[in-house]
Amino acid sequence: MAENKRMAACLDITRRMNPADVETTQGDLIFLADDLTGQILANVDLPLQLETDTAVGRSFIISDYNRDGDSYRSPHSNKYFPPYAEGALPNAELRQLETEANELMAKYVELYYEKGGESSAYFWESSDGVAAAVLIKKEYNSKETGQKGTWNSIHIFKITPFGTGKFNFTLTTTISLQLGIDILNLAGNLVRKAEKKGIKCQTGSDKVRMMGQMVEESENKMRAHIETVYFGRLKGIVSDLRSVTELKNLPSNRMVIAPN
Amino acid sequence: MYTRWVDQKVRYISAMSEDQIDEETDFQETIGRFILASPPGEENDVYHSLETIVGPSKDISGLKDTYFHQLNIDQLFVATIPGSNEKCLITPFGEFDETHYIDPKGSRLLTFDHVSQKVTDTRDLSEEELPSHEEKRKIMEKYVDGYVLAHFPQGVSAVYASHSPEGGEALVICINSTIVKPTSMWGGRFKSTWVVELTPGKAAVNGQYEFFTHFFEAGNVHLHSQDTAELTIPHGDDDEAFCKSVVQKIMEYESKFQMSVDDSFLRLSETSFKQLRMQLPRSKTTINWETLQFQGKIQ
Repeated sequence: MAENKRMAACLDITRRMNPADVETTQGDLIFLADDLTGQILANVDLPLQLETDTAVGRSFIISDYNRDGDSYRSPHSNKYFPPYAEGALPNAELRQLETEANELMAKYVELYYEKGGESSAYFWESSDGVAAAVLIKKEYNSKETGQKGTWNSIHIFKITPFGTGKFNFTLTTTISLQLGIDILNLAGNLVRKAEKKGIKCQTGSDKVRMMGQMVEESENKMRAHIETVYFGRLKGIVSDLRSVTELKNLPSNRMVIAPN
Repeated sequence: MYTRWVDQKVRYISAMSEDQIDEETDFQETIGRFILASPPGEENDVYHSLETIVGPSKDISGLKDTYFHQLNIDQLFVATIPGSNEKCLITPFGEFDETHYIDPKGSRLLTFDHVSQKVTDTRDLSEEELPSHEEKRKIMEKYVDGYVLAHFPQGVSAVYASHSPEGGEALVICINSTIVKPTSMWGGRFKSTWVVELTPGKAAVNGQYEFFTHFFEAGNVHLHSQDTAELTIPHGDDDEAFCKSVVQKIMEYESKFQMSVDDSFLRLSETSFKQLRMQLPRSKTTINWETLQFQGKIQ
């Protein structure tokens, strides 16, 4: 289908542009293909932003998953900001899962992200079970050390029944990060899928606990991949391009550039 | 050829209404933004995707002409001389006109097609076409060649004899080291430009240098690092000594730049990345989720 090809082309471009410029990239793609706006918005993640829940004086992460119209629902007070009386609310069961998940993820974030880490979790009904988004954001900017960084995790869960009292958990995680150390600027994103089948869950707490475990596992694996593979490769490319020490400079040392 | 293209553009625009003109300009600039932001070696992939997105009803080949010209000279494009393995740079400093570029080392004028990114013809420059300070340029080129050979496995350079805005002699040194491995999903480029303006007794030297690398296996990660330098180098009668000292300084600054990048990578692993998210909690073990979940809960 022509539309699928055009959307694939949009994603191809997104994968080549600087992740630090994702807002411009998204806007420019929508300008060129406004009929694909919905798909572009769904597939090109912008940096996570915070909103304040003035009812309880806490911040929460805004996203499409807690949006209704132009307002966003806080996972703390379950209210919309700006106020929106007709805003969709999760049913009691989902709200219970949501409350537990937010509480648990806050503890997780404290342990791995320490100061400045924020998390929010949102649940909704999907056609075959329950879906949830667990969002994590951390930012720092240190003038003294000349270092700054942003980390965004977007974890999308699908929890579907699988036999009696058992559930399948599928998770798609997107991590986006930016780091600035002196004159070095890095920006990247990475996606990973994980699945756990036939997990026995008697209570909502069991489900939430499984989600937490999967978040930790995925983030740890992806963080390691980013450090060893991503950063390692980039550093390697820099040394391939130029050598600080003199090369054993014989013309035969020169590699042949791969033809275009 | 350039003037003909400008005429065509003017005729096209005057046929549109004001709103249409704004939207057309926005459209062209958007296409241009994408092309100009292409990582090393990926501009044709980017252009192909843009063609697919805007669809068969909209012809952007004219924009490819415009923006590939700008892209090629901006990135000091490494072109191959037909029938050989010889490489030359396509740069703003060697631009005779939009389709002709000077190859100072070979004393040639190259005909270059920006869209296909190929040299289509060459001719030797005549004696009259050579600059007045060609001898000085040759000496600088000798030292630059030695430097590039010693530090850039894939480096290509060009030294141009130019003039400063006030009319004094100038030399411009361009270095490009690009490696593109599309099947391994990465590409990278180092490029630098050094403008050496000669005044009596000394030279004002301005340099800019950068690394740009892209790795996109199962994701997308960019590295951008750039810096500039401004220095003065004394200049007596000895051109050899002068050129040698200029290239020595270039090497020092570019190496310092690279070492700063290496140092930043070290700090990245040791502190910066951990400040963002640690490898493990302070307990040095992964979480016991049952304990964490029921912590602080009244049983």
